[in-house]
Amino acid sequence: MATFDFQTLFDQLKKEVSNVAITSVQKFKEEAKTDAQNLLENLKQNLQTWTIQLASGEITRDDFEFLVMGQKELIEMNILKQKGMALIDLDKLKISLINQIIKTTLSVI
Amino acid sequence: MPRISFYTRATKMWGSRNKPITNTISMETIRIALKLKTIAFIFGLFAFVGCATISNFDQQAYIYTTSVKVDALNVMELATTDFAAHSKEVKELQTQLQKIYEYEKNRPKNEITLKQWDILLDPEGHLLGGYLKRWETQKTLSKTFVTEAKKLVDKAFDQIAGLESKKIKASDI
Repeated sequence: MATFDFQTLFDQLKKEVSNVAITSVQKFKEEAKTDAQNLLENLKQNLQTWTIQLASGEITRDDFEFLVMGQKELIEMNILKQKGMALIDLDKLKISLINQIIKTTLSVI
Repeated sequence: MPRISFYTRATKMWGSRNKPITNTISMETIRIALKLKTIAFIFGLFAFVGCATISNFDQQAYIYTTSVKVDALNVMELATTDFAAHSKEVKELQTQLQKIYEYEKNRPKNEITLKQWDILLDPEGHLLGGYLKRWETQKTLSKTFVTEAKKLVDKAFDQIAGLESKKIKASDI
């Protein structure tokens, strides 16, 4: 009957699983950062535009307040999106890990 | 070659009755335990992986979202004219939105997407739901306000569609 060194398998898995996890987390962090920066840039541009429109009478004070509150709710939706994407990445990480573990285990046995 | 009794041979091979036989059993026990540990480890991982934390990608939900976004922005554009003249279009849009909301509500592990829809459709809020209520209350809205509000609602729909498109597809599993 074929035998295998469990410790070697574990050491190999530990190394490969760490690599998969680190790559996944870094990718998520970069995506989340870019998304948040884009939204902040959008917020800045909108506030500038709405302030000018309010000053020139193109929009009313109520319109301005409505839009600012809408922007706040858009940010809340983006936060939910980021939260969802973190969960998606966690699920993707799980799939990558199990695939890596099966591959490594089968190569050692 | 001197005759050796079965016990002597057995003792040479496996040692004395008290110690080496016990060692042989121990080695076997360890081997079995390691195999069981490996099997348990793999089963544990499968159980861990099988437990998804968020719903998978749903093509239908994605199509519904992107499709209703176009309709919603078209209806919003009409707000520079009297609400009463467009109440039919608004009603149709609201029915369409209700159907999508029901669809999303019945998808398992879909709480985050549902919360996004809640924010977008809240009549007391300041995105699509609030916009339609405001239009109905004020009868007409200014062209500049409509343009700016549409930009926000456009991006709000993108948050929902963007999350959906990132979800794991069946082919990825």
